[in-house]
Amino acid sequence: MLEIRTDLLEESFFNYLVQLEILRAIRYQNYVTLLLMEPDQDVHDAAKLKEVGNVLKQELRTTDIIGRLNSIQFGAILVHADVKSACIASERLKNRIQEYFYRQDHGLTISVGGACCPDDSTDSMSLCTIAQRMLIAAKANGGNSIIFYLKGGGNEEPDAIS
Amino acid sequence: MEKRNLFCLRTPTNTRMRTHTDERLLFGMSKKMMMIGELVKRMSDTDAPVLITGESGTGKELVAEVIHSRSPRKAGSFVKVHCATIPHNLIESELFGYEQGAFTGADRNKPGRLEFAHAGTVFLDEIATLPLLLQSKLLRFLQDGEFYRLGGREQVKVDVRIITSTNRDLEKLVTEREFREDLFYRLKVISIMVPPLRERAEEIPYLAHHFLRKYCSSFNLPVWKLSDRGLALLQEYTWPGNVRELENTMRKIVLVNDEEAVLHNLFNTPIKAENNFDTCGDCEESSLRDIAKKAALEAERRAIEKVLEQTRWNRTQAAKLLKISYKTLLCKIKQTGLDD
Repeated sequence: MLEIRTDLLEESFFNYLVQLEILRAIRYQNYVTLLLMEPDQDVHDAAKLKEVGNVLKQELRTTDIIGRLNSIQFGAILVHADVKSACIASERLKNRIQEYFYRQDHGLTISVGGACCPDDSTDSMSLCTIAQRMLIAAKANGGNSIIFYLKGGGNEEPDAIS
Repeated sequence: MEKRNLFCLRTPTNTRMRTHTDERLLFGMSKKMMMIGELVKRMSDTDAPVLITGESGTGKELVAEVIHSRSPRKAGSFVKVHCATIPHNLIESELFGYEQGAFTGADRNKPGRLEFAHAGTVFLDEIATLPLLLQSKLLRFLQDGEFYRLGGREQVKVDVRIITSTNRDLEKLVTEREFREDLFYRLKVISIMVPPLRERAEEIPYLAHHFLRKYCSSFNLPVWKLSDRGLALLQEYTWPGNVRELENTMRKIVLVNDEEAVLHNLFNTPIKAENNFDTCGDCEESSLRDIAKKAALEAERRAIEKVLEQTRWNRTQAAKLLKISYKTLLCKIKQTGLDD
Protein backbone atom coordinates (compact mmCIF):
# COMPACT_ATOMS: atom_id res chain seq x y z
CA MET A 1 0.00 0.00 0.00
CA LEU A 2 2.75 2.45 0.92
CA GLU A 3 5.59 3.08 -1.45
CA ILE A 4 8.95 2.15 0.04
CA ARG A 5 11.11 5.13 -0.72
CA THR A 6 8.76 7.97 0.16
CA ASP A 7 6.24 6.37 2.54
CA LEU A 8 3.43 7.73 0.39
CA LEU A 9 0.66 5.72 -1.26
CA GLU A 10 1.45 3.59 -4.29
CA GLU A 11 -0.05 4.48 -7.63
CA SER A 12 -2.70 1.74 -7.81
CA PHE A 13 -4.02 2.42 -4.35
CA PHE A 14 -4.02 6.16 -4.98
CA ASN A 15 -6.08 5.65 -8.14
CA TYR A 16 -8.51 3.50 -6.19
CA LEU A 17 -8.92 6.33 -3.69
CA VAL A 18 -9.46 8.87 -6.48
CA GLN A 19 -12.39 6.80 -7.68
CA LEU A 20 -13.70 6.37 -4.16
CA GLU A 21 -13.49 10.05 -3.28
CA ILE A 22 -15.27 11.00 -6.48
CA LEU A 23 -18.08 8.59 -5.66
CA ARG A 24 -18.28 10.12 -2.20
CA ALA A 25 -18.33 13.63 -3.63
CA ILE A 26 -21.23 12.72 -5.87
CA ARG A 27 -23.13 10.94 -3.16
CA TYR A 28 -22.71 13.52 -0.42
CA GLN A 29 -22.61 16.54 -2.73
CA ASN A 30 -19.10 17.78 -1.94
CA TYR A 31 -16.19 19.09 -3.93
CA VAL A 32 -13.00 17.12 -4.43
CA THR A 33 -9.87 18.29 -6.24
CA LEU A 34 -7.08 16.24 -7.74
CA LEU A 35 -3.59 17.75 -7.85
CA LEU A 36 -0.66 16.40 -9.84
CA MET A 37 2.77 17.71 -8.95
CA GLU A 38 6.22 17.32 -10.50
CA PRO A 39 9.57 18.85 -9.60
CA ASP A 40 10.88 21.18 -12.28
CA GLN A 41 14.47 20.07 -11.82
CA ASP A 42 15.83 16.54 -12.22
CA VAL A 43 15.86 14.71 -8.94
CA HIS A 44 17.85 11.49 -8.73
CA ASP A 45 18.29 11.43 -5.02
CA ALA A 46 15.78 9.17 -3.30
CA ALA A 47 16.28 11.02 -0.03
CA LYS A 48 15.37 14.31 -1.67
CA LEU A 49 12.15 12.80 -3.03
CA LYS A 50 11.31 11.61 0.43
CA GLU A 51 11.80 15.12 1.74
CA VAL A 52 9.45 16.49 -0.91
CA GLY A 53 6.92 13.89 0.24
CA ASN A 54 7.34 15.02 3.82
CA VAL A 55 6.75 18.66 2.96
CA LEU A 56 3.58 17.64 1.14
CA LYS A 57 2.41 15.75 4.17
CA GLN A 58 3.10 18.70 6.43
CA GLU A 59 1.44 21.33 4.28
CA LEU A 60 -1.68 19.51 3.23
CA ARG A 61 -4.44 18.52 5.61
CA THR A 62 -4.35 15.22 7.50
CA THR A 63 -7.53 14.29 5.66
CA ASP A 64 -6.02 14.89 2.23
CA ILE A 65 -4.60 11.90 0.40
CA ILE A 66 -1.07 11.93 -0.99
CA GLY A 67 0.56 9.42 -3.30
CA ARG A 68 3.64 8.87 -5.41
CA LEU A 69 2.52 8.11 -8.94
CA ASN A 70 5.79 7.45 -10.73
CA SER A 71 9.46 8.21 -10.41
CA ILE A 72 8.92 11.95 -10.45
CA GLN A 73 5.20 12.61 -10.10
CA PHE A 74 3.19 13.09 -6.93
CA GLY A 75 -0.56 13.21 -6.58
CA ALA A 76 -2.87 14.64 -3.96
CA ILE A 77 -6.61 14.36 -3.39
CA LEU A 78 -7.98 17.41 -1.62
CA VAL A 79 -11.27 16.40 -0.10
CA HIS A 80 -14.05 18.99 0.19
CA ALA A 81 -11.92 21.52 -1.65
CA ASP A 82 -13.28 23.52 -4.54
CA VAL A 83 -11.07 25.24 -7.10
CA LYS A 84 -10.53 28.36 -4.97
CA SER A 85 -9.43 26.50 -1.84
CA ALA A 86 -7.32 24.13 -3.91
CA CYS A 87 -5.57 27.11 -5.49
CA ILE A 88 -4.79 28.56 -2.08
CA ALA A 89 -3.47 25.22 -0.87
CA SER A 90 -1.35 24.67 -4.00
CA GLU A 91 0.08 28.16 -3.70
CA ARG A 92 1.08 27.53 -0.13
CA LEU A 93 2.58 24.18 -1.09
CA LYS A 94 4.59 25.55 -3.96
CA ASN A 95 6.01 28.34 -1.84
CA ARG A 96 6.86 26.02 1.00
CA ILE A 97 8.78 23.69 -1.31
CA GLN A 98 10.64 26.60 -2.76
CA GLU A 99 11.60 27.86 0.71
CA TYR A 100 12.53 24.46 2.04
CA PHE A 101 14.95 23.63 -0.74
CA TYR A 102 16.21 27.18 -1.16
CA ARG A 103 19.58 26.66 0.40
CA GLN A 104 20.17 23.19 -1.04
CA ASP A 105 22.23 22.72 -4.24
CA HIS A 106 20.30 24.42 -6.97
CA GLY A 107 17.05 24.74 -5.08
CA LEU A 108 13.84 22.97 -6.09
CA THR A 109 10.51 24.11 -7.42
CA ILE A 110 7.40 22.20 -8.47
CA SER A 111 4.68 22.56 -11.08
CA VAL A 112 1.13 21.75 -10.16
CA GLY A 113 -1.84 20.84 -12.34
CA GLY A 114 -5.27 20.57 -10.83
CA ALA A 115 -8.77 19.40 -11.71
CA CYS A 116 -11.93 19.63 -9.64
CA CYS A 117 -14.99 17.46 -9.38
CA PRO A 118 -17.81 18.28 -10.21
CA ASP A 119 -16.64 21.39 -12.02
CA ASP A 120 -14.33 19.73 -14.49
CA SER A 121 -15.61 16.16 -14.56
CA THR A 122 -17.45 13.59 -12.53
CA ASP A 123 -15.47 10.68 -13.89
CA SER A 124 -12.13 9.65 -12.42
CA MET A 125 -10.42 8.87 -15.72
CA SER A 126 -11.24 12.19 -17.30
CA LEU A 127 -10.41 14.05 -14.09
CA CYS A 128 -6.94 12.51 -14.18
CA THR A 129 -6.56 13.38 -17.85
CA ILE A 130 -7.51 17.00 -17.23
CA ALA A 131 -5.12 17.27 -14.29
CA GLN A 132 -2.36 15.78 -16.45
CA ARG A 133 -3.01 18.36 -19.15
CA MET A 134 -2.92 21.15 -16.59
CA LEU A 135 0.39 19.85 -15.29
CA ILE A 136 1.85 19.89 -18.79
CA ALA A 137 0.63 23.45 -19.21
CA ALA A 138 2.21 24.42 -15.89
CA LYS A 139 5.52 22.95 -17.01
CA ALA A 140 5.25 24.73 -20.34
CA ASN A 141 4.70 27.91 -18.42
CA GLY A 142 8.28 27.66 -17.22
CA GLY A 143 7.77 25.72 -14.05
CA ASN A 144 7.07 26.88 -10.50
CA SER A 145 3.46 27.48 -11.46
CA ILE A 146 -0.02 26.20 -10.75
CA ILE A 147 -2.63 25.77 -13.40
CA PHE A 148 -6.30 24.89 -12.98
CA TYR A 149 -8.88 24.61 -15.68
CA LEU A 150 -11.59 27.23 -15.81
CA LYS A 151 -14.74 26.23 -17.65
CA GLY A 152 -15.08 29.60 -19.32
CA GLY A 153 -12.04 28.71 -21.37
CA GLY A 154 -9.23 30.58 -19.69
CA ASN A 155 -6.79 28.92 -17.41
CA GLU A 156 -6.27 30.18 -13.96
CA GLU A 157 -2.79 30.49 -12.78
CA PRO A 158 -1.11 32.36 -10.19
CA ASP A 159 2.39 32.61 -11.23
CA ALA A 160 5.64 33.61 -12.38
CA ILE A 161 8.72 31.75 -12.96
CA SER A 162 11.54 32.13 -10.64
CA MET B 1 -9.06 -11.56 -0.24
CA GLU B 2 -6.92 -11.17 -3.31
CA LYS B 3 -4.79 -8.06 -3.59
CA ARG B 4 -6.25 -7.42 -7.00
CA ASN B 5 -9.79 -7.28 -5.67
CA LEU B 6 -8.82 -4.64 -3.19
CA PHE B 7 -7.88 -2.22 -5.93
CA CYS B 8 -10.87 -2.74 -8.15
CA LEU B 9 -13.65 -0.40 -7.36
CA ARG B 10 -17.18 -1.45 -8.25
CA THR B 11 -18.10 0.62 -11.28
CA PRO B 12 -21.17 2.59 -10.36
CA THR B 13 -24.10 1.67 -12.55
CA ASN B 14 -25.38 4.92 -13.87
CA THR B 15 -28.51 3.29 -15.13
CA ARG B 16 -30.36 0.15 -14.26
CA MET B 17 -31.23 -0.58 -17.86
CA ARG B 18 -28.01 -2.37 -18.44
CA THR B 19 -29.13 -5.35 -20.39
CA HIS B 20 -30.89 -5.84 -23.63
CA THR B 21 -33.48 -8.07 -21.95
CA ASP B 22 -34.43 -5.30 -19.54
CA GLU B 23 -35.09 -2.94 -22.39
CA ARG B 24 -37.08 -5.56 -24.23
CA LEU B 25 -39.19 -6.09 -21.11
CA LEU B 26 -39.94 -2.39 -20.94
CA PHE B 27 -40.65 -1.66 -24.57
CA GLY B 28 -41.25 -4.96 -26.28
CA MET B 29 -44.22 -6.49 -24.53
CA SER B 30 -47.20 -4.51 -25.77
CA LYS B 31 -48.13 -2.40 -28.74
CA LYS B 32 -48.41 0.82 -26.77
CA MET B 33 -45.01 0.40 -25.16
CA MET B 34 -43.50 -0.55 -28.51
CA MET B 35 -44.66 2.77 -29.90
CA ILE B 36 -42.98 4.54 -27.03
CA GLY B 37 -39.86 2.51 -27.71
CA GLU B 38 -39.94 3.68 -31.30
CA LEU B 39 -40.31 7.28 -30.21
CA VAL B 40 -37.36 6.92 -27.86
CA LYS B 41 -35.29 5.48 -30.69
CA ARG B 42 -36.25 8.31 -33.01
CA MET B 43 -35.25 10.98 -30.50
CA SER B 44 -31.98 9.31 -29.66
CA ASP B 45 -29.79 11.93 -31.25
CA THR B 46 -31.48 14.97 -29.80
CA ASP B 47 -30.93 16.86 -26.61
CA ALA B 48 -34.41 18.24 -26.23
CA PRO B 49 -36.20 18.31 -22.87
CA VAL B 50 -38.62 15.45 -22.37
CA LEU B 51 -41.71 15.36 -20.19
CA ILE B 52 -42.87 11.88 -19.17
CA THR B 53 -46.39 11.60 -17.79
CA GLY B 54 -48.30 8.64 -16.47
CA GLU B 55 -49.75 7.09 -13.35
CA SER B 56 -47.52 6.23 -10.43
CA GLY B 57 -45.62 2.97 -10.82
CA THR B 58 -45.73 2.79 -14.62
CA GLY B 59 -42.01 3.01 -15.22
CA LYS B 60 -41.40 6.69 -15.97
CA GLU B 61 -37.96 6.59 -14.35
CA LEU B 62 -36.97 3.56 -16.42
CA VAL B 63 -38.03 5.29 -19.62
CA ALA B 64 -35.89 8.28 -18.62
CA GLU B 65 -32.90 6.01 -18.05
CA VAL B 66 -33.28 4.47 -21.48
CA ILE B 67 -33.56 7.90 -23.09
CA HIS B 68 -30.31 8.91 -21.41
CA SER B 69 -28.50 5.72 -22.34
CA ARG B 70 -29.42 6.15 -25.98
CA SER B 71 -28.66 9.85 -26.14
CA PRO B 72 -25.36 11.48 -27.15
CA ARG B 73 -24.86 12.08 -23.42
CA LYS B 74 -24.78 8.44 -22.44
CA ALA B 75 -21.19 8.70 -21.25
CA GLY B 76 -22.16 11.45 -18.80
CA SER B 77 -23.91 11.16 -15.47
CA PHE B 78 -27.61 10.49 -15.03
CA VAL B 79 -28.61 12.47 -11.96
CA LYS B 80 -32.01 11.81 -10.41
CA VAL B 81 -33.72 14.38 -8.21
CA HIS B 82 -36.97 13.31 -6.56
CA CYS B 83 -38.59 16.68 -6.05
CA ALA B 84 -41.46 15.26 -4.04
CA THR B 85 -39.19 13.87 -1.34
CA ILE B 86 -37.21 17.05 -0.69
CA PRO B 87 -38.68 19.65 1.70
CA HIS B 88 -39.71 22.79 -0.16
CA ASN B 89 -37.25 25.03 1.57
CA LEU B 90 -34.34 22.75 0.71
CA ILE B 91 -34.99 22.09 -2.97
CA GLU B 92 -33.20 25.20 -4.11
CA SER B 93 -29.99 24.40 -2.27
CA GLU B 94 -30.21 20.77 -3.39
CA LEU B 95 -30.51 21.64 -7.07
CA PHE B 96 -28.35 24.74 -7.29
CA GLY B 97 -26.01 24.46 -4.31
CA TYR B 98 -24.90 27.19 -1.96
CA GLU B 99 -21.89 29.28 -1.11
CA GLN B 100 -20.18 29.38 2.22
CA GLY B 101 -21.88 31.86 4.50
CA ALA B 102 -25.07 32.08 2.45
CA PHE B 103 -27.10 31.29 5.55
CA THR B 104 -26.55 30.04 9.08
CA GLY B 105 -25.12 26.57 8.82
CA ALA B 106 -23.59 27.09 5.39
CA ASP B 107 -20.08 26.38 6.54
CA ARG B 108 -18.75 25.27 3.18
CA ASN B 109 -19.44 25.57 -0.49
CA LYS B 110 -21.85 22.90 -1.62
CA PRO B 111 -22.25 22.07 -5.28
CA GLY B 112 -25.79 21.64 -6.57
CA ARG B 113 -27.07 18.46 -8.19
CA LEU B 114 -27.16 20.22 -11.54
CA GLU B 115 -23.39 20.63 -11.42
CA PHE B 116 -22.93 16.90 -11.01
CA ALA B 117 -24.97 16.39 -14.15
CA HIS B 118 -22.71 18.54 -16.30
CA ALA B 119 -22.39 17.00 -19.77
CA GLY B 120 -25.03 14.48 -18.71
CA THR B 121 -28.73 14.27 -17.99
CA VAL B 122 -30.74 15.40 -15.00
CA PHE B 123 -34.05 13.67 -14.24
CA LEU B 124 -36.51 15.71 -12.19
CA ASP B 125 -39.10 13.36 -10.81
CA GLU B 126 -42.49 14.80 -9.83
CA ILE B 127 -41.87 18.22 -11.30
CA ALA B 128 -45.38 19.29 -10.31
CA THR B 129 -44.28 19.56 -6.68
CA LEU B 130 -41.70 22.22 -7.47
CA PRO B 131 -42.64 25.48 -5.71
CA LEU B 132 -43.49 28.42 -7.97
CA LEU B 133 -40.40 30.39 -7.02
CA LEU B 134 -38.18 27.54 -8.05
CA GLN B 135 -40.08 27.09 -11.28
CA SER B 136 -38.96 30.59 -12.28
CA LYS B 137 -35.36 29.80 -11.42
CA LEU B 138 -35.52 26.56 -13.36
CA LEU B 139 -37.03 28.36 -16.35
CA ARG B 140 -34.22 30.91 -16.30
CA PHE B 141 -31.73 28.07 -16.16
CA LEU B 142 -33.37 26.29 -19.10
CA GLN B 143 -33.18 29.46 -21.12
CA ASP B 144 -29.61 30.52 -20.33
CA GLY B 145 -27.85 27.41 -19.10
CA GLU B 146 -26.61 29.43 -16.13
CA PHE B 147 -27.65 29.92 -12.55
CA TYR B 148 -26.51 31.47 -9.29
CA ARG B 149 -25.87 29.34 -6.26
CA LEU B 150 -27.63 30.38 -3.08
CA GLY B 151 -25.64 33.36 -1.90
CA GLY B 152 -23.47 33.17 -4.98
CA ARG B 153 -22.08 36.16 -6.78
CA GLU B 154 -20.92 34.47 -9.94
CA GLN B 155 -22.99 32.62 -12.43
CA VAL B 156 -22.37 28.91 -12.81
CA LYS B 157 -22.62 27.52 -16.29
CA VAL B 158 -23.68 23.89 -16.74
CA ASP B 159 -24.57 21.89 -19.78
CA VAL B 160 -27.34 19.43 -18.92
CA ARG B 161 -30.24 17.78 -20.64
CA ILE B 162 -33.47 17.82 -18.67
CA ILE B 163 -35.98 15.01 -18.43
CA THR B 164 -38.98 15.53 -16.14
CA SER B 165 -41.84 13.37 -15.02
CA THR B 166 -45.15 13.82 -13.29
CA ASN B 167 -48.27 11.87 -12.45
CA ARG B 168 -50.37 15.04 -12.16
CA ASP B 169 -52.21 16.80 -14.93
CA LEU B 170 -49.80 19.66 -15.64
CA GLU B 171 -52.14 21.43 -18.03
CA LYS B 172 -54.75 21.60 -15.30
CA LEU B 173 -52.16 22.93 -12.87
CA VAL B 174 -51.26 25.59 -15.40
CA THR B 175 -54.86 26.78 -15.64
CA GLU B 176 -55.04 26.77 -11.85
CA ARG B 177 -51.88 28.85 -11.82
CA GLU B 178 -50.02 26.26 -9.78
CA PHE B 179 -47.51 25.70 -12.56
CA ARG B 180 -45.90 28.24 -14.86
CA GLU B 181 -47.16 28.10 -18.41
CA ASP B 182 -43.85 29.15 -19.97
CA LEU B 183 -41.98 26.48 -18.02
CA PHE B 184 -44.61 23.92 -19.04
CA TYR B 185 -44.03 24.53 -22.73
CA ARG B 186 -40.28 24.51 -22.29
CA LEU B 187 -40.32 21.16 -20.55
CA LYS B 188 -42.60 19.33 -22.90
CA VAL B 189 -40.73 19.77 -26.14
CA ILE B 190 -41.02 16.01 -26.37
CA SER B 191 -43.90 14.50 -24.45
CA ILE B 192 -44.27 10.83 -23.59
CA MET B 193 -47.37 9.37 -21.98
CA VAL B 194 -46.76 6.01 -20.34
CA PRO B 195 -50.05 4.10 -20.27
CA PRO B 196 -51.25 2.45 -17.05
CA LEU B 197 -50.82 -1.30 -16.77
CA ARG B 198 -54.50 -2.04 -17.25
CA GLU B 199 -54.35 -0.54 -20.73
CA ARG B 200 -51.57 -2.91 -21.69
CA ALA B 201 -52.73 -6.04 -19.94
CA GLU B 202 -50.99 -8.29 -22.45
CA GLU B 203 -47.73 -7.46 -20.66
CA ILE B 204 -48.89 -8.85 -17.35
CA PRO B 205 -47.91 -12.52 -17.86
CA TYR B 206 -44.39 -11.58 -19.00
CA LEU B 207 -43.88 -9.06 -16.23
CA ALA B 208 -45.30 -11.44 -13.62
CA HIS B 209 -42.92 -14.22 -14.66
CA HIS B 210 -40.01 -11.82 -14.73
CA PHE B 211 -40.69 -10.67 -11.17
CA LEU B 212 -41.34 -14.18 -9.92
CA ARG B 213 -38.01 -15.29 -11.32
CA LYS B 214 -36.29 -12.24 -9.85
CA TYR B 215 -37.60 -12.77 -6.32
CA CYS B 216 -37.23 -16.52 -6.36
CA SER B 217 -33.61 -16.14 -7.23
CA SER B 218 -32.99 -13.35 -4.73
CA PHE B 219 -34.57 -15.38 -1.90
CA ASN B 220 -32.88 -18.51 -3.17
CA LEU B 221 -36.13 -20.41 -3.70
CA PRO B 222 -37.16 -22.69 -6.55
CA VAL B 223 -38.94 -20.87 -9.33
CA TRP B 224 -42.64 -20.40 -8.77
CA LYS B 225 -45.02 -21.02 -11.60
CA LEU B 226 -48.36 -19.27 -11.54
CA SER B 227 -51.47 -21.34 -12.12
CA ASP B 228 -53.63 -20.54 -15.13
CA ARG B 229 -56.36 -19.32 -12.86
CA GLY B 230 -53.90 -17.07 -11.05
CA LEU B 231 -52.72 -15.62 -14.33
CA ALA B 232 -56.30 -14.96 -15.40
CA LEU B 233 -57.01 -13.20 -12.12
CA LEU B 234 -53.95 -11.01 -12.55
CA GLN B 235 -55.16 -9.88 -15.92
CA GLU B 236 -58.58 -9.04 -14.58
CA TYR B 237 -57.36 -6.81 -11.78
CA THR B 238 -57.23 -3.06 -12.40
CA TRP B 239 -53.76 -2.48 -10.92
CA PRO B 240 -54.15 1.02 -9.51
CA GLY B 241 -50.50 0.86 -8.50
CA ASN B 242 -49.47 -0.41 -11.92
CA VAL B 243 -46.21 -2.26 -12.43
CA ARG B 244 -44.90 -1.44 -8.98
CA GLU B 245 -47.97 -3.05 -7.43
CA LEU B 246 -47.57 -6.07 -9.69
CA GLU B 247 -43.97 -6.42 -8.60
CA ASN B 248 -44.87 -6.20 -4.92
CA THR B 249 -47.65 -8.73 -5.35
CA MET B 250 -45.28 -11.20 -7.00
CA ARG B 251 -42.81 -10.63 -4.22
CA LYS B 252 -45.51 -11.36 -1.67
CA ILE B 253 -46.46 -14.56 -3.44
CA VAL B 254 -42.89 -15.76 -3.34
CA LEU B 255 -42.43 -14.84 0.31
CA VAL B 256 -45.76 -16.15 1.58
CA ASN B 257 -45.63 -19.16 -0.74
CA ASP B 258 -49.37 -18.97 -1.27
CA GLU B 259 -50.77 -17.73 -4.54
CA GLU B 260 -54.44 -18.14 -3.53
CA ALA B 261 -54.32 -16.04 -0.40
CA VAL B 262 -52.35 -13.20 -1.95
CA LEU B 263 -54.56 -12.97 -5.01
CA HIS B 264 -57.68 -13.26 -2.90
CA ASN B 265 -56.51 -10.32 -0.78
CA LEU B 266 -55.78 -8.38 -3.90
CA PHE B 267 -59.38 -8.38 -4.96
CA ASN B 268 -60.77 -7.57 -1.53
CA THR B 269 -60.17 -3.89 -1.27
CA PRO B 270 -58.78 -3.21 2.20
CA ILE B 271 -60.84 -0.06 2.62
CA LYS B 272 -64.01 -1.99 3.40
CA ALA B 273 -62.73 -4.01 6.35
CA GLU B 274 -61.06 -1.06 8.08
CA ASN B 275 -63.47 -0.71 10.98
CA ASN B 276 -62.55 -3.18 13.69
CA PHE B 277 -65.86 -2.77 15.42
CA ASP B 278 -67.69 -3.91 12.36
CA THR B 279 -68.18 -7.36 13.86
CA CYS B 280 -71.91 -7.16 13.57
CA GLY B 281 -71.73 -8.08 9.91
CA ASP B 282 -73.91 -6.02 7.61
CA CYS B 283 -75.62 -3.59 9.81
CA GLU B 284 -76.63 -1.29 7.03
CA GLU B 285 -80.31 -1.82 7.79
CA SER B 286 -79.98 -1.24 11.53
CA SER B 287 -80.72 2.03 13.27
CA LEU B 288 -78.05 3.96 15.09
CA ARG B 289 -79.37 2.82 18.45
CA ASP B 290 -79.09 -0.82 17.46
CA ILE B 291 -75.57 -0.28 16.25
CA ALA B 292 -74.60 1.42 19.51
CA LYS B 293 -76.18 -1.42 21.48
CA LYS B 294 -74.34 -4.03 19.49
CA ALA B 295 -71.05 -2.18 19.87
CA ALA B 296 -71.55 -1.86 23.63
CA LEU B 297 -72.29 -5.58 23.93
CA GLU B 298 -69.21 -6.42 21.97
CA ALA B 299 -67.05 -4.22 24.19
CA GLU B 300 -68.52 -5.79 27.31
CA ARG B 301 -67.96 -9.24 25.94
CA ARG B 302 -64.32 -8.55 25.32
CA ALA B 303 -63.79 -7.03 28.76
CA ILE B 304 -65.51 -9.90 30.56
CA GLU B 305 -63.66 -12.50 28.55
CA LYS B 306 -60.36 -10.91 29.43
CA VAL B 307 -61.08 -10.80 33.15
CA LEU B 308 -62.43 -14.35 33.17
CA GLU B 309 -59.25 -15.56 31.60
CA GLN B 310 -57.29 -13.65 34.18
CA THR B 311 -59.18 -15.24 37.08
CA ARG B 312 -59.27 -18.60 35.32
CA TRP B 313 -63.05 -18.51 35.13
CA ASN B 314 -63.49 -17.87 38.82
CA ARG B 315 -66.69 -15.90 38.43
CA THR B 316 -66.75 -14.54 42.00
CA GLN B 317 -63.33 -12.98 41.63
CA ALA B 318 -64.15 -11.77 38.15
CA ALA B 319 -67.27 -10.01 39.38
CA LYS B 320 -65.21 -8.30 42.08
CA LEU B 321 -62.64 -7.13 39.54
CA LEU B 322 -65.32 -5.83 37.19
CA LYS B 323 -67.07 -4.15 40.14
CA ILE B 324 -70.45 -5.74 39.38
CA SER B 325 -72.51 -8.21 41.38
CA TYR B 326 -72.11 -11.94 40.85
CA LYS B 327 -75.65 -12.13 39.54
CA THR B 328 -75.05 -9.37 37.00
CA LEU B 329 -71.96 -11.12 35.79
CA LEU B 330 -73.82 -14.38 35.18
CA CYS B 331 -76.49 -12.43 33.35
CA LYS B 332 -73.91 -10.69 31.14
CA ILE B 333 -72.14 -13.95 30.41
CA LYS B 334 -75.41 -15.37 29.15
CA GLN B 335 -76.24 -12.22 27.18
CA THR B 336 -72.95 -12.02 25.37
CA GLY B 337 -72.89 -15.71 24.72
CA LEU B 338 -69.70 -16.43 26.56
CA ASP B 339 -71.08 -19.53 28.17
CA ASP B 340 -71.36 -21.63 25.04
